[in-house]
Amino acid sequence: MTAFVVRRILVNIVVFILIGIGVFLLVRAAPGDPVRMMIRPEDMQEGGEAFIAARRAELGLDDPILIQYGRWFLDALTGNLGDSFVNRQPVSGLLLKRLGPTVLLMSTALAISLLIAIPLGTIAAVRRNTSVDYAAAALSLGVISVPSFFLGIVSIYIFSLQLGWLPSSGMSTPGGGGGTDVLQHLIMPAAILGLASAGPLTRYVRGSLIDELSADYVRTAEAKGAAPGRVVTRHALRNSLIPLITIIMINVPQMLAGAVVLEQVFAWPGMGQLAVRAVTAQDYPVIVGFALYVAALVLICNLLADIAYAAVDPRVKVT
Amino acid sequence: MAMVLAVAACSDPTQNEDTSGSGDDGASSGSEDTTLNAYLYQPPAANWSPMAPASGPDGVVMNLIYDSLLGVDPDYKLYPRLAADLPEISEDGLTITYTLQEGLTWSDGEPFTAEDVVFTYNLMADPDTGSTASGRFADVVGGPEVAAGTADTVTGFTAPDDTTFQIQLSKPNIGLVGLTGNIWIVPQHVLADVPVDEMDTAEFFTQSPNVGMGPYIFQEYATDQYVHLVKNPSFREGEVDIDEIYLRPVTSDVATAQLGTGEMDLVQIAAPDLETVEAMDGIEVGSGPGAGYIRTSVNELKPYLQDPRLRQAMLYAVDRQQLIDEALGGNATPVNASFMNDAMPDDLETYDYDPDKARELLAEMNWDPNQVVQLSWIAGQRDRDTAATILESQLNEVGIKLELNQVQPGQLTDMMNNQSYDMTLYGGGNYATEPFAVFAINACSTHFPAGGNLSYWCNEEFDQLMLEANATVDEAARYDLYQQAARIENAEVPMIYLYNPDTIWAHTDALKGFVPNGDFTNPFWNVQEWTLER
Repeated sequence: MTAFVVRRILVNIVVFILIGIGVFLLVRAAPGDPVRMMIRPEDMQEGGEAFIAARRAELGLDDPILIQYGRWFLDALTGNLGDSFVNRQPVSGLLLKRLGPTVLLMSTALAISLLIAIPLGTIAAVRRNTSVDYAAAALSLGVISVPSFFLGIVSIYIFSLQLGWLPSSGMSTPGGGGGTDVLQHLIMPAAILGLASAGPLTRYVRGSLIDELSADYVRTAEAKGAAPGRVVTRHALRNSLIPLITIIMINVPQMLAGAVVLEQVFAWPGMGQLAVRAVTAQDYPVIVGFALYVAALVLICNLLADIAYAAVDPRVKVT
Repeated sequence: MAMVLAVAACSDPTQNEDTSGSGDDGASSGSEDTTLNAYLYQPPAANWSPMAPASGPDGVVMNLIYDSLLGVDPDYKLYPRLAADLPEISEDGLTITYTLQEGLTWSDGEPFTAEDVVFTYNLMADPDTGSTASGRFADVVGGPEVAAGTADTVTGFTAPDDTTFQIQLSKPNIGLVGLTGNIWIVPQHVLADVPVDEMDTAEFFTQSPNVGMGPYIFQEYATDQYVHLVKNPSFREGEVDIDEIYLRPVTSDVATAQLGTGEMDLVQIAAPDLETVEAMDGIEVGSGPGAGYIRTSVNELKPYLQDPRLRQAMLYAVDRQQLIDEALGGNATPVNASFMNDAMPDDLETYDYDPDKARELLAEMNWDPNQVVQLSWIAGQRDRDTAATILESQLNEVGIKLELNQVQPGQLTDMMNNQSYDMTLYGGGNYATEPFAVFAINACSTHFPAGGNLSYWCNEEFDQLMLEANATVDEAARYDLYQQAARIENAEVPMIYLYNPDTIWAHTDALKGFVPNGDFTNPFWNVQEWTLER
């Protein structure tokens, strides 16, 4: 098992470095010039070229791309992802500041989606092809098809404007604050994000549980006279949750995409806003930093899924 | 969203729980702390250095925490702020002398002197500080040397005494006052030890610019959520009335809705939302014309786009009033030259909508109706997108095959570098305060990338008039020359001028003293006269 984990980690590190090279090259292959974007054409007269020359030299953009990459890679090994072109602050700091809010939003959303998906999927599977099952199907299809930004705007309208129950934006009240304050701000974006991923998860739980319920060991247990509820919760559900671990882990990056959108709608101070602005300003170091963060997230989630899967299901061959 | 706003407008603004803690409808006494919540149209880049590349939302913050020698009022006239009066210009036009107000102090209590001004202007002239403005000082004695890196300080910036700041020029340049008078002054006593090439990463600018001359002091930036400012007790006009300001970057839709709930006190709104906001209780609306305008540069390097009659025909073919009504609900003014205010003569050709005249001109010049002309622009702003589609249909109607081409910002930069576009739609600029500013978009010597002339238009007579005007000290004579230049530009149509959009503000009626400014980065220009009575 240890050898398995170590090997997977090493493979992931190599993949991560390759992704880094790819993103670095791709971002620089995009059209445009970040230094020219900093200066208004009107300011270009006479001294403009001096500014551009000074800035290019300072940002190291005059060097061949391989030298730029090498320098960036060596810095990155020490945790230094360079400075943002736009505001001259270290990228790692910019990302770190926004990591907390994004993680808080995503983990709360994940918890909410599990709290919805597991019971709902179980009920739908046990009472397959009844009105309850159809209702659950319709519900999950509904939340899959409605874009989360729309749900966001509608819920701001209902819960903030009409009912006045929840704050409409930000992570804390200016000048106020505290845990309950953050919680109030968290409810709407986390619930919407959770709901969005609860849809597909419910379908997975249902499908996977149905498979288990028709398995031989379930029928054996039933034949032996075990109580139906006990069979479902103790045997079938437990086994059906094994593939769910993978699904959840694969779902996390998708959730991040949803978070990027919702962060815009709710002015949630997470990664999303930073990423969008970095792309429009061609802020190379921030774009690369963000892409690496997403890549790391995906790789770590996949790794955890593999390990967890191997750990809970002895049938998985550890090689 | 319009529906959301409409219903929000009907709801009682006082019935909702107020999360800002400042929304009591009853008239409360003035002794309590007053807090103003204002909308910021984007999160700031969070580098509050006057030398940093121009960023609107950061400009809003800097206008509150720093002060400048001169300010620009909503009529785009210069007025003295830190200076006691407008500067004196010597008869030969070579010396600009500012007299500063006496006895001023920084927000930390240190005295403010002309040395602070010299220090700041030197930083602005040096590209190593990250300054994009070094080119503006090309006519200052010693300016080009600093820009080129062969000197450390500009010899033409001097402080003969504590309240006098002088600029020595190598050739007369009256426009320099309008282009540099509003530079935000930064404290020498705080920044003197920061190496020049580290100025753009100085902690003072990126973390805590908490010493200034402005009406407010920087308190905190809660990342992407709000900038918190408190009043500056040492402000030159005495303490301001509103104790605290929170600048909050949220989406325009949310901000407009929050105006109805009392969470937001001051918001810049989009023209399509105007009707909804006007229907809200307790909200006042005001607007001012912007300092620049939306235009379409026509690339005259392309042989088929060189005949001025083609561009005149394009202007006649476009119903700009319809465009303004459709895209901006009437909140804009058609434009017929780059010049504004006093530099604008009143006898210009107005190019009123006349498709027949357009066809005539095209026939006269033997325009090939099969020639495709491509309009490239960065899509995403409602009014500009509408403008592009109207241009397409109306130009097609008179026989100009216009093709729309949406591009990304980076693509457009590349097209500009390669001079490869036919026409490009863009906006901005500040041409209202100082007429010489249009030299950068119109002169033979300012063809992109050496300047902002994206039409690659060149008219030597125009250039000569502009340069002569900029060297003329006498104001009446100067403006007469600008008006002559404006006539040439108006006749030759280097670009398809479209409209000058209004900046529209909406605020709670508890806010008194607000005067709408067309410059959307400077809503707080007279914040010292504001009160919040609730």
